[in-house]
Amino acid sequence: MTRRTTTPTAGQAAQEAPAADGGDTPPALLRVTDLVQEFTVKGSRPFARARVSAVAGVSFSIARGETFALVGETGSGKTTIARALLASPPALSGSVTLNGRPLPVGKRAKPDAAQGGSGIQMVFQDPFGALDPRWTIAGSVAEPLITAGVTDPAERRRRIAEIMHLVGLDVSRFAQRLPRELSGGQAQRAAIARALVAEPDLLILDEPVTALDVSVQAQILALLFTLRQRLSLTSLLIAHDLAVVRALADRTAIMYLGRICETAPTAELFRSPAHPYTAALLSAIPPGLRGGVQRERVRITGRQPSPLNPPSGCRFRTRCPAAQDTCAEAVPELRELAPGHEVACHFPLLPLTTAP
Amino acid sequence: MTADAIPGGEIVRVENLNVKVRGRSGWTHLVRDLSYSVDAGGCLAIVGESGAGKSLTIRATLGLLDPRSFQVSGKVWLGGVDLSTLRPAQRNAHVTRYASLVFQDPSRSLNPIMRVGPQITETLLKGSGKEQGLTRAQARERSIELMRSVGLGAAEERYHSYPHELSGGMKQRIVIAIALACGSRVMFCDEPTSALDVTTQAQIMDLLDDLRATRGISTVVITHDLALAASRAERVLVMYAGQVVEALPAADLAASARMPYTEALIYAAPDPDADGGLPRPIDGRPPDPRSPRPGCSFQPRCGYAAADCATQEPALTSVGSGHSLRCWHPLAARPAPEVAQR
Repeated sequence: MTRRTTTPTAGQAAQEAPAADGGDTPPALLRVTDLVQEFTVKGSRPFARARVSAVAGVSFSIARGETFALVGETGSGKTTIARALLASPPALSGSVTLNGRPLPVGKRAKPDAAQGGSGIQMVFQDPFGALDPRWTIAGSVAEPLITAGVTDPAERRRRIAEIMHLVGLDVSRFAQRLPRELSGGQAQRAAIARALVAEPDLLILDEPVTALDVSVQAQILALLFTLRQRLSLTSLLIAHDLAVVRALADRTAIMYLGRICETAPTAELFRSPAHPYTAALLSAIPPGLRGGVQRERVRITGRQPSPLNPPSGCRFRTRCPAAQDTCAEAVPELRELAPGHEVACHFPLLPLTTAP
Repeated sequence: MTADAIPGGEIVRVENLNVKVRGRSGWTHLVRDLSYSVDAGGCLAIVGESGAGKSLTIRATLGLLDPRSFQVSGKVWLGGVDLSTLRPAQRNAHVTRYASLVFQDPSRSLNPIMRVGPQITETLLKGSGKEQGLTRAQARERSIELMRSVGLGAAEERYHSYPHELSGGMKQRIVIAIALACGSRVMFCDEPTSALDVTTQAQIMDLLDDLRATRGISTVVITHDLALAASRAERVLVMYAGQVVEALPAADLAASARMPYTEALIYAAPDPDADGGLPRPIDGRPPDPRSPRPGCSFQPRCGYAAADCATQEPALTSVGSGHSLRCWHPLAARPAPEVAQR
């Protein structure tokens, strides 16, 4: 893993040489550097405007075939990042490259319709919201193919049948149904088929199983796992349920208030969290029932500060049990603890192996 | 109606609860012969898939189901009083005094155009405080105290907030404060934390634990999260197709659950501590209550089913202290899973 920092110059460097990734690591399919997103909202007084800092300099990359998870609580900016990748709306600044091709960034950027979409597809939490209620399942699944320029109807039918079979929906039974005639699990399968039919480079899964019942959740997780292996999918998983992340993701980044606190291979992150916030998150989940781990509870108090007026320095310091004066003064940058394990904390819970 | 439950006694007791709903083709049996009890200061968790009848059970317990479309039979004691002996108006007053219901989505329990503090004060003035002759100013004072006791900082300022100005966790705290203002002895919580973030979920569960310890308020929690049930409750009731299929002490859930459905539920949930372990889905779907079939209701989906499972319905039988289950071929007790301290 190469080391990334959130210094201002890193963004420009990556923009100039997107593929200049060192050595033996697999080439990154998606590279996000210094992504910043802000929104203007109504201020406290009439006509006043305030700026919400939703994402403040986030960098990460996803290798081909990898599942990368962004985890964080409500308001941490994970969905904002996903939307910025889809350019709806595009990020304020920073750079995003997919397959070495830059994606639109900046206020006046437009979604890249000319190239038949950006090569990114998304699966949402609520499948019924993602499927047009008046379209048949076959119609919904066909739409991305039409956008991608597959004009031959026979070819389209073949690909629809293929993908529906792959997600476990019988074409003869489901193709002509309407979304309301499907159960939640079946509708999510249809939404996954729609996302995958045009063979996107990157699949974004935004809370894909949160709205589903326990046993259906397990079915969809198993499906996503199989699809990942059969199609060697590259995906960005967005979730707040750490157990889901544990089941699907190769690498995980923990977000807090628009910044990444910690990134590590998933198993390592669960085994040895280095950021106090990660430790608090992990200790808040009830131990699993199949030989669980009883973690010592790291309690955090108070609530997430407003992104209208984020704390100086480390954004977690107002709730951190280990906060000191330095934390208010300097923004901690992501530093490498072990290969692939980076933490943005002045006083990490694990010793730094390399000099900072 | 003299009825403060004896400390340590049962606050809720339900026997042979049956709920039927009117449908196009007659009555559908949704909750069948269900019995449970909760000790004062105890915590019971009811777990199961959607449609198992968890929410119906607690609504029937509290007499909230519309008699025009639901038929409820069975006996319910609340605070030592048999509800069937009370006239409807008396019964409603009694239930309001002893029990409250906390929903998954706190914003739907709160009035969106009324400040949150006055919503607590109003409850006090109309409920328990009325008997004590509280003045408006005293009620306001008491509300602020209640807001503090549910862990809301800056209670004086928050008193004047509207629900939309508060986060989900804070709104759920206000709902709990209102339940306290009613003087409830038992709180029925329907998926109280499913809509909340992980850390907020832990904080709300801590609050419920705390109220149990300091005020002796019992809780009945409906959840689909077995790990949460195991770590917070004292007893767990596993429901399937309107019946209790296993009831056991929460501490034994991981090690000695013996009904195949409970085991299936444990393995269906993704495990945060399993290395690359994928959850194991439960094949098939819950049975349609409109067309009941003979035998065990879980038999079509059960990996251990034998011939007699399809023909004869098992009864709820006791298999140990505080442990009963409904199965012809219960699993052998497993060795306790190892729990690493970290």
